[in-house]
Amino acid sequence: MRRVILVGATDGVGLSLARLYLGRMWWVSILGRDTEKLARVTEQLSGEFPEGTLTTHLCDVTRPETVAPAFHAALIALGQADLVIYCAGIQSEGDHLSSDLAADSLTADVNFVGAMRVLGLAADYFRAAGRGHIAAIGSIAGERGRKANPAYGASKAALHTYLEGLRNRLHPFGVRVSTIKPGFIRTRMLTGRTDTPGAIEPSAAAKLIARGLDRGRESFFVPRWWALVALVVRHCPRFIFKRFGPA
Amino acid sequence: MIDPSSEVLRGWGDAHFAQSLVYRPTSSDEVAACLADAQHRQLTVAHRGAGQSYGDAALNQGGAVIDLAKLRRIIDFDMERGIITAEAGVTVGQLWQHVVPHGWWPPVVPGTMHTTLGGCVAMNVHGKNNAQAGPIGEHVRALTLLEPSGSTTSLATNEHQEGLRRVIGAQGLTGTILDVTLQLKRVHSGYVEVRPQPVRSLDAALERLDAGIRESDYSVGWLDCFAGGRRMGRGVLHFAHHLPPDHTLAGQGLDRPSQELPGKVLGLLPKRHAWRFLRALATNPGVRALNVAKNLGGIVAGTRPYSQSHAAFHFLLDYMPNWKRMYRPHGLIQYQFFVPFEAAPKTFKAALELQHRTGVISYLAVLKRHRVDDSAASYSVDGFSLALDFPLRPAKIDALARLCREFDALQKDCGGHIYAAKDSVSCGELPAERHPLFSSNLVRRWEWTENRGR
Repeated sequence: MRRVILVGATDGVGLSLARLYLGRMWWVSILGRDTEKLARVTEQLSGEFPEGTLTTHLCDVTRPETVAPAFHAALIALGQADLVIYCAGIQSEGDHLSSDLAADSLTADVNFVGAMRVLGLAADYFRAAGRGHIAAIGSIAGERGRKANPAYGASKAALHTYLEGLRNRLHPFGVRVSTIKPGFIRTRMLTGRTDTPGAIEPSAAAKLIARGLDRGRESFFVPRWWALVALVVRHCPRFIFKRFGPA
Repeated sequence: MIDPSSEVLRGWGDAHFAQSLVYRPTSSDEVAACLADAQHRQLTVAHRGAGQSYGDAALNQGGAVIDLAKLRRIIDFDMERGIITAEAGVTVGQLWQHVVPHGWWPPVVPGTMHTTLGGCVAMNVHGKNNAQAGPIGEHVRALTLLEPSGSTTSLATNEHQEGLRRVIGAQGLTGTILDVTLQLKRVHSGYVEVRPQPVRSLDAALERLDAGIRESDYSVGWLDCFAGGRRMGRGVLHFAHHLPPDHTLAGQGLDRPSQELPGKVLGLLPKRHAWRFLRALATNPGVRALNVAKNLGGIVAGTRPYSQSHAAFHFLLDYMPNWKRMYRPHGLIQYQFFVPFEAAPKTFKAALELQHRTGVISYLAVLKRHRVDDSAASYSVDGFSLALDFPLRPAKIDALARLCREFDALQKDCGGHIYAAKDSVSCGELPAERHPLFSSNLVRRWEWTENRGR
């Protein structure tokens, strides 16, 4: 009955969210950049949820000309949307020391600029309707600049600020905006990494995210205890963070 | 001349909205121009009248919507024979106000007078007299149709029976209805005699409703969905009949003031603000209490007949303006299913039990008796319909979605139908031949369910 558009949901947390909402009888539209992956996801999900209502649309958030057509196609297919979640995100590992300019600018493009491209459309759509809910997956990494991956942290911090601005702008129109800040989730992003304390499965993360969104929370950590970590990290003096901060 | 604007339109239940390019033509010629313009822009087209459909029937996300509400001219009225020709945007209210002083009444009216004639014919609506008089389509003498090609055709009964069947009840998917010629019903009084009948169970309700159609012109039942166990399906039925020419009230009340709905609810509440009172009660315990009160009232009032103006009897939904606001901000949906006679007791019992099991209980349930009709996309059956209003509550919305799917299954099992004018969660019957230019949410849902192979 509720209808959700998930951007970048062909794997990871997005896919888990798609599965979760289909299980709750929501109508789901997935925007993804890879035709083959979209086909695979459709096959997989329609096998799992034969009664479910699912559409997929080709959309590469780094190519602006693909975004609006895909978003509008999703709206037409669903008839309307009640919730739009931006799940697309990348992180390039690198050697934690040197800058990879191409990778850094792509990180910013997918994690932040792409989010603006999609959520800007969603914001205008919901503002005109006087209702709706926008959410995006940020990160605990956006709380502070870490030496391991300055570009990733910066892209997520920018996303958080953008969402806050949207929230304040859309508040008088009855539109809700939620910032989701996960800690470690065992997706492709963490492949090969061992230094990931408290990592949870994408399905568990999806459950926590959906619960937070159901409650209409504006900004929340996944799982919640990361809020404590964030509190410490945020208030850690610069001279300490500089020397002993996490990688 | 035609100047479309991008707008967000809502379904009447406030649960659905869509952004569309909206045209508001003021004449038949302009309608044709709008259609051509939308075609030129490669947009699909949906029609809209007064926007009184509960669900998303008059919405078209990302497409064009032709709003016909400004076509509100009454073209011709033959007072002797009771035949009226009116443009599609003329409302039922406008219609009865025009004809009642001359002793006529629309043959079929829905529960609200705000719907347009074009919308009523496109959806082939029924009233409280469906079992006796059929849907409105059976009283249409002729209509003018704007074909997707841009040509205008006049279709009249006898000559173009097949053509009319394609249009009546086709949800505007075969062409645009520009005007309608309707055979009215002769009335001798501005009043009808109403006989209430409290019932204590679902079986009794169905049995009495069926028996009642033989001796009345109108029949409708209200059920208390909160009642469980032995009292399941209790409620109050109302039967009404037109007064004969020799009745003491004959010739009276055939004027607009007598038909005015009361300005206050229960003689107390100014009706403009009554929804605020209802809103305070719009919780499960509140509605449960209201239903108990209504039942008690029904039992106390007994079966004593009383007379009521046509408008007051028919337009229950207009008694309290904006009553849907009680469901703010999330709105409401209605699920109405039509079930064959034999299957009705079992199916409706299951539907009531399912509500109790899931904890999602309808706040307003209306029971009606129906008969089959001949329209190409007929939703009716020889049996009963149960219309269930559900408020949308975020905490219960998933359970409601699941409940509606279970209703779908119940209705499919017994060979029933869904009613497109109200539907927003399932899928009604589509006209066999529809034009690709005309799109609606219903078509979209239909295609999905087809794809799912259900």
